Amino acid sequence: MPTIFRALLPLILTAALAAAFTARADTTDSKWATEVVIAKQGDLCADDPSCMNRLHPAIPPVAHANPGDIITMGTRDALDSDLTLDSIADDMAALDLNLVHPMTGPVHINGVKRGDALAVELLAIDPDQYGYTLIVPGFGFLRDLYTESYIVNWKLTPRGAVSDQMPGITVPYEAFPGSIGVLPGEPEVQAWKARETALAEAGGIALAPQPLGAQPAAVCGPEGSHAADCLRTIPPRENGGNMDVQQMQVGTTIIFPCYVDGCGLFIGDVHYAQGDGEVSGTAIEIGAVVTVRTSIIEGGGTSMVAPQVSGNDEIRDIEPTRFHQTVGLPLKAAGEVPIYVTYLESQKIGPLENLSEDLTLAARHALIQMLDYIQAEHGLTREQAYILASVAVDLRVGQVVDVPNYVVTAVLNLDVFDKFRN
Amino acid sequence: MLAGILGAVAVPATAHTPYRQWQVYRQRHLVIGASREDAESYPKAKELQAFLGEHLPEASARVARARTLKRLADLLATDQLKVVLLSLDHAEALLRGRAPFAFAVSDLHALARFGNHVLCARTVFPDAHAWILAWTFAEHDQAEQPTGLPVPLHDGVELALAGAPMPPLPDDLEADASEEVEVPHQH
Repeated sequence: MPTIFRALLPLILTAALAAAFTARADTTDSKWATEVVIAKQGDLCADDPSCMNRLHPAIPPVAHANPGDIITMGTRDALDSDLTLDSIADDMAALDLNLVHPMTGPVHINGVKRGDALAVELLAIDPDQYGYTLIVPGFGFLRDLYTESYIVNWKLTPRGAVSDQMPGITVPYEAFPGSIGVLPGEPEVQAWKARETALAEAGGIALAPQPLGAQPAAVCGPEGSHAADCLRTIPPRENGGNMDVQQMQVGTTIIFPCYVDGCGLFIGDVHYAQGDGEVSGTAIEIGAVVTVRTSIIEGGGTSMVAPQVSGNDEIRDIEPTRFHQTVGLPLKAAGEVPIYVTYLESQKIGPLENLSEDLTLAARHALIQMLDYIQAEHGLTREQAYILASVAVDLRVGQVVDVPNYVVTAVLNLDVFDKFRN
Repeated sequence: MLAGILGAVAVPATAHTPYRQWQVYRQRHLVIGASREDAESYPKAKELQAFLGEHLPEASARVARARTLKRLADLLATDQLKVVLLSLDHAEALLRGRAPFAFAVSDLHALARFGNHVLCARTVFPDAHAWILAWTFAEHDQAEQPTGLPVPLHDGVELALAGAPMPPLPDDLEADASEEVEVPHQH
C-alpha cells in the first residue's frame, strides 16, 4: 500500500462512515402519506380559485382527497382583509363586509355519501406572523357600550402573541379553526334560508344571501347560477361553519354530518387565540396553514343533528394555571331593555331588574364586572380590557337550575400577564 | 340650526343584524373614504373630519382609510361608503373606468373641492345632505369654488350654490330627524 494512501486511510474511512450515516439520518425524502396541498393564491379570496365565501352545494370542489390523506389548506383571515401591522382604527370602516368569511375549499372526500359522517382530525396549524383583534361598531356582545372602532395588531410566533398596543401581555398560542364545516345539501339550503328569513321578518338577526362580493362568483355572484340561495357564513349551522369553539384544538377530531356526496370540507377564519365568548366580535384573527386528515363514518350522519367533537387532553392544555373569575346573574337596571331582546318587543322586560333563567343577561353581567376588574387591577384602558376579554376571558355556565338566577362566570386567564410569568 | 339634519342620516336602529348595524354605523356617521394609495387623501380627510366635528357635529364625521383605491371604489359602488375623497385625476379615472380602477362609477358627483382633491358621492347620496355639506363648507370658507372639476356637481350642491332652499329629507329619514330644522340664510 503506498505510504500516502496508508496515511490518508483513517480520513477516508471517517468520510465514508460520515457519508453513510448522513444518508441514513436524512428523513426528508422518506414518505408514507399521500398529501393533498391547497395553497393560497393571490391577495384576496376573489383572486384565489380555491376560495369561497358563501355556502351552496353547487360550489364545485377545488380538490379531491381520499380518507386518510394528509390535507393541507392555506387559509385567510375572517374578514378577507388587507390589514397589516401598521393598520389603524380608521382602516376598519373600509373593510368590505360582503367578503366575510373566506373559506378554503370545498374538498371532495372520495367515497363519502350524503347521510354519512365525516371525521376531521386536526393535525397542525401553522400561523401567519400577523393577526388582529377588533372592536367593530355595531358588532360584538357589548355593541351598545362599545360604539367606536378599535384595533390591536399582534405579532405572532408559535409561542405567543404580543402587541405594542397591549404592553405587558403575551397571549398563549392556542389556535383553532374558527370556521370549519361541510357543504349543505339543497334541502338544507332551502330549510335554513326559510327559517332565517322568518327570523329576520320577526326582527331577529339573520343575513340574507348577498351576491355582491360573493365567491365563487360563477355560483354565488350577481350573475351566478345560484345567487339568491348562497348562504352567508356568519351563523354556524348544522353543517358547522363559523362555530368559534376554542376547544377544537390541534389533536381533536370534529365530526360532521354530510349533506352532499363528497361532503365538501372547508376551513378558514383561524383564530390564534380566543376566549369562550369572543366577546368583542373578533379573536386574534389570522391566516394560517391548516393540516387535517379525514375518515368516513358510514351512515353516521343520519344520527347527528350538528357537529360533535372528541379529544383527549386538549381542553386541559388550554386551561389557565391562575385565574380571576367574576360571577354573573341575570340582573339589570330597571328601564333597561337588553339589546338582544329588543326584537321581541316585550313590555315586561323593561321595568324588571331581574330576568328569569336568562343566561345571556348573566353573561353580560359577568363580563361587565370582568372589564371593570381588568381596568382597576391591571391598568388597562376600557378598550384594551374588552380586547383582552375577547382573547383571554372564558364565559362559562355555572348552573342552570337555581331559578331565577342562572349563573354565568367570566374567567380571566392571568397567565397572559407577563408580570406573572418567568 | 342644522341640528338633526345629518344626524338623520342614520336609519332607525331597529336592525339587529350585526352587519346591518355596522352599516348603521356607516350611515349614522358621515364616513369619508380615503386611501393609503393616495397618501394625501387621509390627512385631508382627517382635516375634514375635524372641521365637520366643529361646524357640523351632527354629521358625526369619521374617516375610513382603505388600503387601495380599488377597495375604495368597491365600497362606494356597493353603497358601503357614501362619500370618498379622491384626487382630481382619480375622480376622473373612476368616473370613466380607467386605471387604477377596474370599473366606472358613472354616477360619481362632486360635493366640494379641496385643492387637488374632490369630495365625491354617488347620486344615491341625498340631495338634502349634499346641500347641507355644501352650505356648511361655504359658510366657513372651507372649500374652494367647485370649478374645473372632472366630475359633475351633485344636484344638492347645485341647489345650495344657487341659493335654493334645502331639498326635503328622504322619506325614510324624516321621521328620524329629532329636532326641528332651521334653514340657514342663503349666500
